[in-house]
Amino acid sequence: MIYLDNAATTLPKPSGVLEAIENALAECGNAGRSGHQAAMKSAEVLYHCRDMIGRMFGQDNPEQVVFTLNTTHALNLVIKSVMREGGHCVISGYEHNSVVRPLHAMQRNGVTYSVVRTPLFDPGSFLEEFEKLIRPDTICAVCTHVSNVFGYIFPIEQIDKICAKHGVKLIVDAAQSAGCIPIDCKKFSSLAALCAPGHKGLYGPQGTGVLICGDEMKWYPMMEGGTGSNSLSLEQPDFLPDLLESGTQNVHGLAGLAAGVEYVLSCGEDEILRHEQELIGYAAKELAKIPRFRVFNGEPQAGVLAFVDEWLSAEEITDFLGEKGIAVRGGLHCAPLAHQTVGTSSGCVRISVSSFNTFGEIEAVCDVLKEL
Amino acid sequence: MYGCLFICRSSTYAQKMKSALERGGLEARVVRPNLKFTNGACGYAVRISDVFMAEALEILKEKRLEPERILIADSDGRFREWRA
Repeated sequence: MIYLDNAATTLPKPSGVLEAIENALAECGNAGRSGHQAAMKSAEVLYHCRDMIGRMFGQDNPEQVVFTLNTTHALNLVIKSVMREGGHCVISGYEHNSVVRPLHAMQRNGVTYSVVRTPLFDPGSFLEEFEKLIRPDTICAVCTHVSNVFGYIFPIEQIDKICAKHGVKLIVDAAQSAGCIPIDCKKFSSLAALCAPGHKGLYGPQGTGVLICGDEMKWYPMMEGGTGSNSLSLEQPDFLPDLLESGTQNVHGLAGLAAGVEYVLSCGEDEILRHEQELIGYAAKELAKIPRFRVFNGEPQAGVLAFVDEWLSAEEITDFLGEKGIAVRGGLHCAPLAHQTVGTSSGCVRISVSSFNTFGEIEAVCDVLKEL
Repeated sequence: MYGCLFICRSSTYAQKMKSALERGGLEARVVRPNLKFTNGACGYAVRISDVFMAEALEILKEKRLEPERILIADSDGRFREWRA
């Protein structure tokens, strides 16, 4: 199989990830619940992962690294904390449903939001429109770092500056950038939180995600329960990470995530991005030779490339490729807003690469598509 | 060795404290303290040798880590509250 659906989840995972999960399954008890060796081993595994993730994203305090099920969970936690009392929010026109659906649901609580609808690969016009949409009642902005459909890299550093200027909190969805674009949270002035998956560019297993909490934030849990701390009190602990982490942790998954982060650090995030951009650049050049294809390629772009065919639907193309053992994703990619913004509401085909993909694989896929 | 316990508010805080002490060259261990030291609730503590207590306190101060309570063992092994 040629796997080019890495924006959904990376595959394969590094061998170290599999090994770490196997070891954790063999050795780890329930972290934060007991004092015996297996429980303490588990607590150490969690802390190691927390510490590594914190270092990777410039969060010096491991307590402000909260483990979640996935990016959607992390985004819900921060959006529902920041917007709890209602107010206005600005989002890019490229947001995933994990951002749009919570905001839509919160309209019942007095939340309103505006969408920055600007063309692909045009950060200048995005920044201009973004600032125009900020109002006196704007509380926060949510922006994807990299579009999960088109690979467009958003200028989050400049977005942060605009947010700081207007006293607006910024939420960064790093679903597609974590692990391939270095992010230093210390450099942000307005950051409410950065949300990232463990199972994509960080090469961990599914069921892992992280919420990197900014300073001076008031948090509200989505669920209460056992934390192994303050257990006599019926109140949820008011400190991180316990405030937002109730119940048994996915220690086996997080052991794998730590190994995934180690893999990324050993490769170098810049190097991974360079490799992915070269593959995508090559794919874009080859696919552009097919006259009936519209290929969405531009600068700055990460390892995600979308295209549409004048004749065949995205589903027909993905089925055709699937039969040839090629895994890509067609449709709306859980981001109908992004498709509305670009004008591809009937969906498109998405190719997304990882550090494991090769030029040979891209060449083979392009050759198959040329036979369509 | 006689022990010294730094009571922590959470497992993560205890791990963070242990990590800071170990980076400072001290041997430290996360343990579950007796419930009477944690107001009857489940809790975590970092245990070090009392020989290194002064050094440990310096490290914690430098790293801005604050134990909820500090307990030190008497010669009979019983822990009592320690105050500066």
